[in-house]
Order: sequence, then structure tokens, then C-alpha cells
Amino acid sequence: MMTTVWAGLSLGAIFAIVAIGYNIVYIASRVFNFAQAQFVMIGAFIALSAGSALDLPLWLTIILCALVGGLVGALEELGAIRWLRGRGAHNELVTTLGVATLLSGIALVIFGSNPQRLPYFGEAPLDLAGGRVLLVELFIILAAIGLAVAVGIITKRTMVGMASLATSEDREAGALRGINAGALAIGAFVIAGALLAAMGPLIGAKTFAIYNLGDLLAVKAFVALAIGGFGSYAGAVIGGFGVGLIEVFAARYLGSEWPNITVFVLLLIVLLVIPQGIFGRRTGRTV
Amino acid sequence: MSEALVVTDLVTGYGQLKVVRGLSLTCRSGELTVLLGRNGAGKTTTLSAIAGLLPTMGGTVALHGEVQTGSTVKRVKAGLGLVQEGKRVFRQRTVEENLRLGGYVVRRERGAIDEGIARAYERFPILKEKRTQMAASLSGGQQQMLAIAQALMPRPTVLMLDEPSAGLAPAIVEEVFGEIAGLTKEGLCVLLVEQLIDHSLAVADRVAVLDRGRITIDTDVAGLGSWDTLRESYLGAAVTD
Amino acid sequence: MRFLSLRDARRLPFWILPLLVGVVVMLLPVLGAPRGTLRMMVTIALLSMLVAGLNIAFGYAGELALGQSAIYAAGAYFAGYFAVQGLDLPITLVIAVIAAMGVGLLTGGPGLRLGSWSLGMVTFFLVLLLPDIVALLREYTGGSAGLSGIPLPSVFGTKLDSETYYMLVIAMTILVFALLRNYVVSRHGNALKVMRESPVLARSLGYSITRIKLSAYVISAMPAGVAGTLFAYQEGYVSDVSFGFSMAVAILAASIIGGSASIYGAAFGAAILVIGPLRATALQQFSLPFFGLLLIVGGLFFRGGIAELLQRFVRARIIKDDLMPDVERAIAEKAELPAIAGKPLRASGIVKRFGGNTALAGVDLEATPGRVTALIGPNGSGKTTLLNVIGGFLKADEGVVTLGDRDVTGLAAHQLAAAGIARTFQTPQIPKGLTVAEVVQVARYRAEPTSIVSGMLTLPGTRRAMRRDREEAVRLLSIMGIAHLADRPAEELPLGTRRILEVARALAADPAVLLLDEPASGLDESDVDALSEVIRRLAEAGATIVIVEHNFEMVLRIADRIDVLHLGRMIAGGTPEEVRDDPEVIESYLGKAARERAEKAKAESEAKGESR
Repeated sequence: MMTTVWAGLSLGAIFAIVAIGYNIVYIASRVFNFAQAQFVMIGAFIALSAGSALDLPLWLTIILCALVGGLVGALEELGAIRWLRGRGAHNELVTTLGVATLLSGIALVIFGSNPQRLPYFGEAPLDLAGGRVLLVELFIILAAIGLAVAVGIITKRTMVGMASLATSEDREAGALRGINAGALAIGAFVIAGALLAAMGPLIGAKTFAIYNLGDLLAVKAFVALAIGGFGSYAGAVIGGFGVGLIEVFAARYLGSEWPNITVFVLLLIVLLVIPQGIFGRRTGRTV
Repeated sequence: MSEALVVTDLVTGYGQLKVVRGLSLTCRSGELTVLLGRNGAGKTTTLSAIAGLLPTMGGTVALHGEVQTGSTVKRVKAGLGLVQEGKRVFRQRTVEENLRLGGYVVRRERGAIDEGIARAYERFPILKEKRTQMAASLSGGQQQMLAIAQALMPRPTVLMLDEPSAGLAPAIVEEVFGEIAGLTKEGLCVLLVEQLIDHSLAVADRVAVLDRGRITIDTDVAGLGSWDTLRESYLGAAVTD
Repeated sequence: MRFLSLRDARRLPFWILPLLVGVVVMLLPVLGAPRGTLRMMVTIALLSMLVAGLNIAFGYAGELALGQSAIYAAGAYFAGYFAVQGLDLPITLVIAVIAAMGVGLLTGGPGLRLGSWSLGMVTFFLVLLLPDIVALLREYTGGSAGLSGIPLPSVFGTKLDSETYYMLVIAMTILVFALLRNYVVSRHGNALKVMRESPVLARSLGYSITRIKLSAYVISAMPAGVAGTLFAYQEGYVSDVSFGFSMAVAILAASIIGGSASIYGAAFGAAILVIGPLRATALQQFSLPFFGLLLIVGGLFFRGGIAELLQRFVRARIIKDDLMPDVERAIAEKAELPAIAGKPLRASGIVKRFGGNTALAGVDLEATPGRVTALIGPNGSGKTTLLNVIGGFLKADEGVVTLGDRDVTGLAAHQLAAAGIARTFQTPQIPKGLTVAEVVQVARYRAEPTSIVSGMLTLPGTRRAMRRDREEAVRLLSIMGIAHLADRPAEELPLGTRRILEVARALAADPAVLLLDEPASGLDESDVDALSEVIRRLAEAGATIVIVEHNFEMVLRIADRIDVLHLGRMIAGGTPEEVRDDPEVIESYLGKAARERAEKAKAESEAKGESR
């Protein structure tokens, strides 16, 4: 049973990491970036190519992923979001969905549709707390918690972080205090993109690299935030772990067709009963 | 006294609607200019355009001789401050966080923020008492004080205030206006937009009246003469005198 | 190209053109078109129905319900299953459509409570969920192997050959488009536009947003159900592979290219998507990134898609200077303002708090029919809050509001609208895409309700109601003096005219009370005069008018009674003369010293008067 718990936590950690990415962008620019999960996929494929073709060590691959992720993030903000200022949330969903489709489609063209195994990390499971877990899964869990804590602290304690919170509350008042909302927005896209891509080698080692990795990941990370509250990092982690656990337990005890359906029902319940999430606030949510 | 803020033939508005149609105004350092006018006259629109929040469709805005065409953020860095109407502080942040954010443009200068916060607490001791409370929990008057203190954090040279008295009880209005009056002694150029003629005239060096998008009266307080003209502009036909 | 006059343009049934195109397409087999072309036409037809459905929900109702491909799948599986069971086409079609509408209702239900993002995500999730649902129900769906063995379509016992089936597909597509087009062009379409652009206005007109949204979801599912059925018979086989992420994105892309707020646009978008990228099999693998680019570019730049471009092109060719005959008649006849049955409005002891801030601290207001009651006060006094409480947009914490002899305390905006409260807004709520006359007509939507089915089939009931809508609108516009603008796009109007239009709209609802929210704000002298005249005439006709205004001169001229609000309390009330000289009012606007001066002056003049 503990093995199932570990599986749930490590799966949930992936959702949490994407949810953290959602938060970073949402807090700074009030945009929900549907394409965020694709950055994990980008990182996974870079790890695949870099690892096998160039035979780079893991740490270098991670840095490379971060750089590419940051670049793509900046391109996304400049190309697909910036022009939309004030045109309404619908358009942002359409364009970010477009970016997600574009990225996923490019991956399909380059790498085909078969899931591919990453060259890093072994297959040998560890025995921990009465259950079995892979080393890479442990790393992912720790990374999720670590990132949430780190980004949470940076957001609350640094000037830039506070400025993001302020600007998402009242953009005009922020401008009068000298806060450049546009710069913060690009910065957020770059950082979220870099972070998620950097996690690609680890996450991909567990999920394999495949062009549509981002699709279900995107919606489930959304569920994580719906539970935990948009804009909350603690919520991202708790919501993420919650979704992961529910998914694996549903698979185990109900059958293989049930995990996604269960998460969907969970989403409906959460959105209808506690729309602001556990840690969210009622005011100011565009979603 | 230097001309800190010079507005020349300003035309601005919202989309097709031109609210301000050729407004000219000069404010000097160390001087408090009051801009009066009834609702719909275009006072808030004027301040928004000077601050760069609204596009300028004609005319210029100059700060210390330099014409401003850039974004609001650039104008703030050039020394312009605006306290908007409605006490627009960041309600989800604490009092102290609000003050810190006020000093965003000078965050890299050593000690600037800490000094600024100390000054703010001196000016409005109640803010020090409530430093860790959410701005949303403050009363209207306290929020107004926070808004003013926040705008003063980066040591602006020109400060504009939009109806700071709105919705405040008379006693609080006295206190707030007292502080505003003291600002000119610190060398600031103050542009105060108000509906309350009374309090404003008590602290003003100059008076300008905005009527239907243009300045109709622009004089120093001494030269105002009978202020029944002002009252007419607000309340219509003259009251039997 | 030749120019048309407005009158001629209005008389031409533009739908003839698409109908002709449809008939030609239907007759292609007779004209000897090759198989490949016919197959492509079917693909376009099916996709266009899906896009049309999306357009109803997304383009018209403004709801990002992306579950079309899931509903499509439901239609296909239901039709396929029952066809395998031996049922005929007409019956499987009906079953599939009902199932589709059911799914549409289920997925749309949560949509009532969710913001647009959440709805988009939920419906998108549903699409990704399809393989699991299919696997779960594998007894009926055949699981991942798919549902096979769907027999050739038969109608009332006769088997259809592929050519006849083709014509059936196109005929059904034409039928679906006709029904949707009628729906959109009817009063329901205008109601959707109002709801999408201004939910506040919709509520103040008495619309039940819940009902309108739900019906939009159900209707948007109908074409998907039809398309699913036709697809099942076409392929003879249904599997979940055809209904995933790719399809959902393709539908959205087609909607955006063709124009989301258009029915015909659906056909354009579908045609472009099918004929364009999906032709060359070599390019097949690039379809996904291509769709992605389309969505990005479309979302950024395509405001109304091809449909809007065409519309603008056509509109530019129509001279708008002439007037429709009924408008000319109305201007010539100079309609008189009929008596208005105003009711007395009373608010007592209204208290409203926002957190720690008491906006209204026990306020009373009384407005009587035939009189103008003005509510004034400096900024922050609570005027707008009081108006919102009376209008049902805010609930008071304490206090009672009565309309006539009926207690209306706590009723919501749309309920108050039904009770007879009409209001105008400081920022005129003029939905995009409506003409001046239509802006007035939408106020009658609830007054004379017609069913959706009646709208789709353009039954006599609907036609009568639409005729009456138009008559009323033209009459009211002529009373207001703006009948000559009846068929202009309402967005073109300058601010002063928009305010008058709002008053006309408020009148169309046959109001017991008229709430006017700063109608003179931002207007110049002549506009204020025109507006003042209109308001006085309405009062003389018997209306109960409550006006919130800053323009003191105007208020002094038109009000029978003025109530002054300051910091949440009524500090004065009475006739204009009384209020103007009231010391408290002077103080609240001009300050203490002004009050003292005024009191001193009054005392002096009284003394002078006595000593004579």
C-alpha cells in the first residue's frame, strides 16, 4: 500500500511542479498559461537528445533545458500574450492552447509518436517506509516541495515577488508605484519556462518522453490549483499530492479506466463547492 | 521657485469622448495649486493623463522642463507622484508592505526604503501601529493616509492628489489636509484636486477651476476676490447674499 | 460593384445565397463530381456542423465550452449502437440528438457556476477523458477496438445507396444551418448578444441568465449529435481515435478563422480547414503544429474571422441614408407619449456595509409617480450604492423596499425588472452588433416571451412578437426624437444620444419606476437640455423617476424633490429651493466656512427685511 502512496506522491509532485509554473505566471501577469505543461515535455526531449546524442552529464543537460525553456517562455509571452492586453480571458486561452498545440505538434513531427525512454537514472527501486520508490521519483517529490517553498518565499519576501502580487491586484496602482507590469510578465514566463523545462529530465525519466505528455498534465495541474487555490504555492503542492494520490488509488482499487474520470469528478466537485480552493481568496480571480 | 509641472493645451479623454479640451496649467515647487471643479468636469481625467495612465491626444506635459511622453513608470521615476481617488492601496498587502512597494523605484538605493518608512511613520503614527495589518482592514481615513505615505516613499518632486477628502469624516479631513499643507514646505510642488472648496482654499497658494474641459479661473488665492463665483460654478444660481 | 439602398438590402433575403450553394453541393453527384470530392464535402459538412455548435456557445453566448468533440462522439456512439441493434436512421438520429443534448446539458450545467476559464478546462478535460469512458462502457462501445458493423443507413425500410446518403447528409446540414440561423436571427439571438456583452444589462432587463445559458448549451449540442449520427453511418465504424485533442483544436481553429459569432462562418472555417491543410497526405503530420499556429494567429488578430470581413464588405456597399418605410411613417405621424403607469417607490432604513465601511447608515427615500426625485451628494456619499440596492444589484443589510403595495426587499435585479423597475447606466450598456432599434427591442424579450422552438421554425407566434418588438421600438425612438437612427449600428452613436437611447430602452419594458444613473455625466449643454426635456415629459406622462446626478443646475431645473446624501446619511430633502439654501448641503459641498457665510448672509437679509 505504501508503494501506492509513493506512486501517488511522485505523480502528484509532477502536477504540483506544473501548478507552481501556472502560479508564477498567473501571479505576475494574470494569465493562465495552458501551454505551461508543455515545457516539461520540452525538457524531457532535450534530455533525450542531449543525453543520447551528445552524451552530456545530467547537470549540464538540466542547465541546457533551463536555457531553452526560458527562451521559449519569453517567445511565448512576446508572441502570443503581449499583444492581447485587455482583450479578455477567452483570447488568452485560445492563444495559449495554440502554443501548447504548436509545441506538441513540433515534438510529434521531430520525434514521432512512440514514448521514449530517457538515458538518466536507473530502474532499481529503493525500499522506503515500507514501500518501493524509484530514486528519480524521490527527487521529483523533493523538488516539488523545495520549489514551492523557495518560490513562495521569494514571492512573499522579495521586492520583485511583492511587486508581482501587487501588480496582479491592481495594475494601474502598481504602475503609479513604478512597477513595470510588462517586465514582470516576461520575467515570469521565462522563469516558469526554465524551471519546468529543467525538471523535464527528471519527470521524463518517470513518464517517458512523448509528444502529448503535456495534455493531461495541463488539466490535472489545473485541478491541483482548483483544490489548493490559484496563486498559492502551498496549495499547489497540497492539491498536486491530493490529485496524484486520488489518481493512483482509483487506478488500484477501481480499475484502469477510472483514474482520469475520478480526477474529473473531483474537479467538478471542487469547482462547484469550494471555487476558491483551500488557500485561495475570493477576490480577484479571473479564472 | 521653478516650474515643476507645466501642462500646455492638454487634450485627452476616453476613446471618442474628449473630456479635456485644451487645458493649460503651471505648478511650481514649494507651491500648492488647487484644481477645483464639479463632477464630470474632467479633474480625474486630467491627473490620469498627466500621469500617463491615459493617452494624450494633444498638448504636452512637462516635468522640470522635460516633456514627458513615456509610460507611467518612467514618469514616476522622473519624480511624479499621484495619489488616486478611492484610496487605491494594495488591499491584500500589509501596511508596511504597501510602504515598501511605494518605494519600488528606489529599492536599489541604500537605505532609501527604510528611511522612507521611518518618515512615513513619523508623519502618520497610526500607520506604525498598524504596520503588520492588511490594508483592507484599515478605516477609510487610515487608508487615505497610507495612500499618501505610499506615494511619498520615492521622494517625488511633484505630487498630485485626487480628492483625498472623499468619504472621510470632517475630523480626519482636517488631519489629512494638515499634512498636505506641510508638503510644500518640504519643497514639493503639490497639485490638489478637490470638491471641498473650503478646506482647499485654506491650504492653497493658487486656485484653478476646471469647467467643461478647460481652465476658467487661474489665480492666486489672494486675487480670488468674492468666491461666490466659485459657488455659482458648483451650486448654480447665486444664493441670496 | 453596384450600391444598394438600405430598403432594398433589407428586403433581399440574404439566406437565398447560402441556400443555393447548399443545393448545388447537394446535387454534386448528379453533376458528376468524383468520389474524392464528395468525401471531402461530407467532411466539410460534418465539421461545419460541429463548428456551428461551438459558435452558438462560444461566439454568441460567450461561453468557452470546448466539449464539441465529446458530444460528437456521444452522438456517433449512440447512433452507431442503435443502428447495430437494427433501428432505422430517423430513429437513431433522434436518439443521438437527444443524447447529445443530454451531454451538452451535463457539461454545461457546471458552466453556469464557473468562469470562462474553468468551463474551458472542464470541457477540455472531458474530451481527453473520452478513451477512458469508451473503455469503461466497452460492452456498448466496443472499447478500443471500436464499434463496428454499423449497417448501411435505411430510412423507413429503404436502404440508401452512397449517392442518396450523400444528398441526405448535405440536406441535413442545410436544415441544421437553417434552424440555427433562425435561432440566431430571432429575439433569442439578440438576447444572447446582450448576455454576452453585458450581463449587468441582461439582469436589469429581467433575463434569466441561467435559462438562457443552459438553452444555449443544449442547442449548441444539437448539431454535434446530428453530425455524429451521419458520421457513424458514413464510416460504418466508430472508434475514439477520431474524437481527441486534435479534433477539438481543429474545431476551435475553424471557428476562429470563419468567425466565431457567425453561423455561416462555421461553413467557411470548416471548408478552409479541410480544403487547406488536410489535403496533401504528405502534410498530414504537420496538421497539429499548423492548428496551433492558426489558434495563436487567430486568437491574436482575427476578431470576427472571414464572416466579419464579408459583412463589412457588404455593409460598405449599402447606402445608409434612406429610411425604412415604417420609420418614415413614425416620423411623419409624431407619436405622442402615452400615459405611463408609474408606481410609488419607498425605501426605508436602508443599511449597507462593506467590511468595515458603512456605505449607507439607515437611509430613507420616497419617489412618487408623476414626479422627478433627485438623489444628490458629494463623492463617496453612497448614492450609487443606494441605487444599486434599489435596482437589485446589491442586497441591503437592513431596511425595506416597497414598490406600490408590494414588498420587494432583497429581490434580485432580474426579478425587480419583472416587477417593473427599469434603469439606465452611467456608462451606457450598448451591446455590440445591435442596431439602435434592436437595442430597444431587447427590452421586450421578457415582456412577450416566445419559445426557442418557435424561434427556430419562425412560427407565426415569433413573427408576431418580432413585428410588435419593431413597432414598439420605432414608436419609442420617434417619441425620443431619434427615430431616424433606428437602423444604424448603435455603437456609432455619440454619448448624448446613447443616453437617450437608454431611456427609450427603459421605457420599452413598460416600467413602474425609472432609475437614471448620472445620465448627464459627460454631456455638453445642448445634450443636457435635450435630456432634461425628455425626463420632464416622462414625469408629466406619469412615470416615477429617480435620478442620481451631479449636475446641480440640471437637478434644480427638473426635480420636484431633491434628497441629499452625505457619508451614508440623508442630510436634507425637499424642494429645489429648500435644498439649495440648506446650510447642511452648503457645508457638505463647499465646507464649513461657506456654510457660516451663507447663514450670516441669510440672517443679515432677514434683519434687513424686518427693519423695513
